[in-house]
Amino acid sequence: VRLRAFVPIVTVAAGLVAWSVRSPAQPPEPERLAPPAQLVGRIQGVGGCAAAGCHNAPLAAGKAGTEYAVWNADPHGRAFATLQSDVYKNILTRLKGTAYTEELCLKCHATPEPDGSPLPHEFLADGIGCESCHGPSEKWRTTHYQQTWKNRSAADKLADGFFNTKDLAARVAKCAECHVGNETKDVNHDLIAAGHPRLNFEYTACHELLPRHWRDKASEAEPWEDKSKKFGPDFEAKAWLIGQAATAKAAVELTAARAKLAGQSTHPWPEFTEYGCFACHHDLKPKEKDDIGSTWRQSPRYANTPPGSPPWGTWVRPGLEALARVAPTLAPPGGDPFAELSALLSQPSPDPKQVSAKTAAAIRRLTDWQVSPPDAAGIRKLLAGLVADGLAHPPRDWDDAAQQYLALTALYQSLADLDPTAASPARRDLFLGLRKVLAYPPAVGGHQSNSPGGFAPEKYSQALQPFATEFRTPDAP
Amino acid sequence: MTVTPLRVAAVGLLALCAVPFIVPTESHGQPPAGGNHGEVVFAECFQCHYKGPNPLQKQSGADKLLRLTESSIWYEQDLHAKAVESLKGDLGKRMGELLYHDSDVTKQPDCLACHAVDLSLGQADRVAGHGQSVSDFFRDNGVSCEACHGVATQGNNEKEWLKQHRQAAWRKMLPAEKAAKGLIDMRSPEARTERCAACHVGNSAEGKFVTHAMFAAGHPPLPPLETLTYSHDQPSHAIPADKNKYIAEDVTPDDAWKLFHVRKDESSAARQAAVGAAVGFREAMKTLEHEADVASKKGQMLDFALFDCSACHHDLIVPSLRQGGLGTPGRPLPRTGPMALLRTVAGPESNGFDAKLAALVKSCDAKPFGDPAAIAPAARDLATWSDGLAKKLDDAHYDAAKTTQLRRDLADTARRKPGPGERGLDYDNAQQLLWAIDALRDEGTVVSPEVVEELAKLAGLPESDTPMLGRLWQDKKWDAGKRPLIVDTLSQRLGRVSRYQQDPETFRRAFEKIAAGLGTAGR
Repeated sequence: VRLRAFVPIVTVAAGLVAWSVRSPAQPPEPERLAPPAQLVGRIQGVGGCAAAGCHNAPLAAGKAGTEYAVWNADPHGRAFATLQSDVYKNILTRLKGTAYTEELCLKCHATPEPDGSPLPHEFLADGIGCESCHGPSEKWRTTHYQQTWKNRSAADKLADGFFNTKDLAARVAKCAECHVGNETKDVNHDLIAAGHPRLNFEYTACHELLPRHWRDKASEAEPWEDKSKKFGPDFEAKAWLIGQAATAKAAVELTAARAKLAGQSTHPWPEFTEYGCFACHHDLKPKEKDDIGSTWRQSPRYANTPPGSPPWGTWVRPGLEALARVAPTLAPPGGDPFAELSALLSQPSPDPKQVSAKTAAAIRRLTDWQVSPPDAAGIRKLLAGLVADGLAHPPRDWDDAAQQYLALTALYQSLADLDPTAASPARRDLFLGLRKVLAYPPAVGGHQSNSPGGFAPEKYSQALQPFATEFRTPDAP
Repeated sequence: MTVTPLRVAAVGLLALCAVPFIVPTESHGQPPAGGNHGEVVFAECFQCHYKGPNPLQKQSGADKLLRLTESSIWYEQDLHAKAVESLKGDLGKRMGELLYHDSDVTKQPDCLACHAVDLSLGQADRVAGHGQSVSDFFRDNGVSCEACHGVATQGNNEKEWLKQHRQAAWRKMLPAEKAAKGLIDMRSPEARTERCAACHVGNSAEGKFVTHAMFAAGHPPLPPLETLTYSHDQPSHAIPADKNKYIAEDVTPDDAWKLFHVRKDESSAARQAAVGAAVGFREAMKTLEHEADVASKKGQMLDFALFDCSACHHDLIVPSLRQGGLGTPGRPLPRTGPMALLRTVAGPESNGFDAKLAALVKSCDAKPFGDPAAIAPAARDLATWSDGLAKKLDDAHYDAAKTTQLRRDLADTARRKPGPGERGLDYDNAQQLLWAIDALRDEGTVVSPEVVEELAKLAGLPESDTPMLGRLWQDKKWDAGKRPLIVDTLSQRLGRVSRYQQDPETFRRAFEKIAAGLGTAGR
């Protein structure tokens, strides 16, 4: 079942009904969204990692030691190959005469040198190689397999350039460098108009759909691995919450960078990728006889957004907004951190300087937020709460609905991981019904749909209705 | 004053007693308490222009020049009379809630600018643009007489044109002299198009501009302006130039041209179509310039409504049919209105147009939704160019040969197969060309029944099922009560747009047949 593969951007299968027999053990610990670490050292290439005795063991894929082989089947390993495709060549043709260069592409389609200097040519074909996520290995290549390595602290390892991917907040921030973007890695509306896919990053969906060369949950640990250092069955819920938090922070930081560079030839302002794509990108013709496909947009759906103005932050706002309504104790203190920023950015010509001030405030609030993932009872309550909230606040658009759906799937996965009896084929069918509403229309004449033509919030609400009885908390009335 | 049947009858009775060509008494032009001048003028128009010629009007020869039933034709058949009424429907109420948090949009100057009569137009102290107040409008009867013919009062006084047009000497006056006294020369294709375009294209300086917010709240899209078709599709309350006995019998050929814009053995319709295309474009450019000036001064973005709707409004597909070839990706082009008709009527005068258009495109390419400071001069340049074109087209002689050739050229443009990598005509362009060809059907040399049939198929009714570009309304069947408002046929219209977009080739082939029937090859 590929519950999360409802958009044609990510297509790797994911198992929904894998669950642990262990009950959640550790009390949840708050996490902070740390500032990005400045890594040291230079890129060494994947060659050194691929030795049979190290990360390319002749074992079944997925076992410890097979990391290189698994990564080989991972789309990240093909990131550079993408730049050999016709799709890419067309993008370059369309951008001819603009300030955008191939160097910009290489920042995410190859392994980046920490100081931004060009990567040695022979490493380009590695695509997003090991060191893209784990850090440049110049200083730790020869030490990380020694006995002493295990006893060193994460901070100590980081000083050598080894990035701590086991820290979920740090890991998501790392993903977000490319999948959301940052000051130097910016996929803006010009690039998307030229043919680059939209970046709608939601951590648990991407994580679920990748071939994993690591084991997050204690239930998946190798016998010799220290299970106490792994995540419990609450992993998915935790990953959703931290994913939302870290993605939101990355998004606001990107807005801040864009405001700072506003008006430069590679930084048009306002930047339309931050607004709801499908607010503008929809056919004007009535989709159905009863016109439901086209007129729902005319009712005001976003606060501060008058008719005909695209709403800001449709992808990054919904998760935290719902959290603030449903579980204020889990949400950033002081309410919606986007409120002022989105009000400003929803004006027709937002002033970059004012935006900078508001991003600074929002980043501060997100950085101060101590993200405390819910315990088992909290997960159950959150799931029921999000369902009720979804019914009380019908989705404002496809992004809103998709984010809600992804939150529900992550929490349901956690529920199943905590208690196998929570998963049932009937419940899975409910999720599939919800996913169907979100699916893009089928391809026509060799053209794949890349927008949800025909989506209507009412249809989503209808499909969500049965969740209310299915995921009621025991103490609910 | 809403004219009830009783009121109309009363006014009709008055018309019988009215004495034309007599200087009005001092009581004329005084606004009633609580009302405005619009109501008074409106009633005055009805006095002479409602019931048909009375003995005195016959005696003066006014009935040879005018129908003298203008008010009744307009009131009973013309949709312009329903313009305020249409604001009171469900859509108007909903738009009011969305845009103004008030369902009554009959109080909104932004709406009244086109749906009523702006009596402040032409007043010396008028603020250009969106600065009018509700009291500036005569709201009772939609787009009534003064909206097109010119506001008839200045302060508490009647304008000279209202006073003098009742006199026989008025007929001998040059249009420019009449214009100086406040009457708009609706017989001039240029002036007429300018009036139509003010609402049907937009005129920012007059506060007539359908913003993107209005469209988003539900305002129907504005179909392309083709003034000849628009004139044909409304009940004419003027006697057509070629049937006008006064012009044919009582004035010299020289005066017929100078005073009434009519030249013997020429097609006034062809002149209207050609000049209309140039002026419609000019007005679009003037509004773009005005909006760009304002945006530039305020440091704001241009309103989205000034850009090509389909640049953003399309479902996304991969591979895309839209990407490539038009400057920086993601930079919408300006909504100039369709230009195929314009280029065709310009013919050899098109020289220089492409360079000016390229400058405008460049200014829109500078950043998403353009650089207003660069757009303003580029738009002004195009407005100046099209103004010059309009004057040349107005001077041209539209004899049978030229008129026939014009029709052929239009069909030739419509049937042209797009080259590799070239986009064919979009719906608005195809529709505007078809309208012009169809409206010129009875001009020049006689067209074959096959062409007539093919045109009828393409230009059929909105309700029809056959694939077609469609007229807005059925030709020459006027009954305002039975004719649907634009909003009621909107979904059919939009459906037709998407049918066209799916298969423009079918339509191109129909134009191929029409062009062949018109003998284009034999040029």
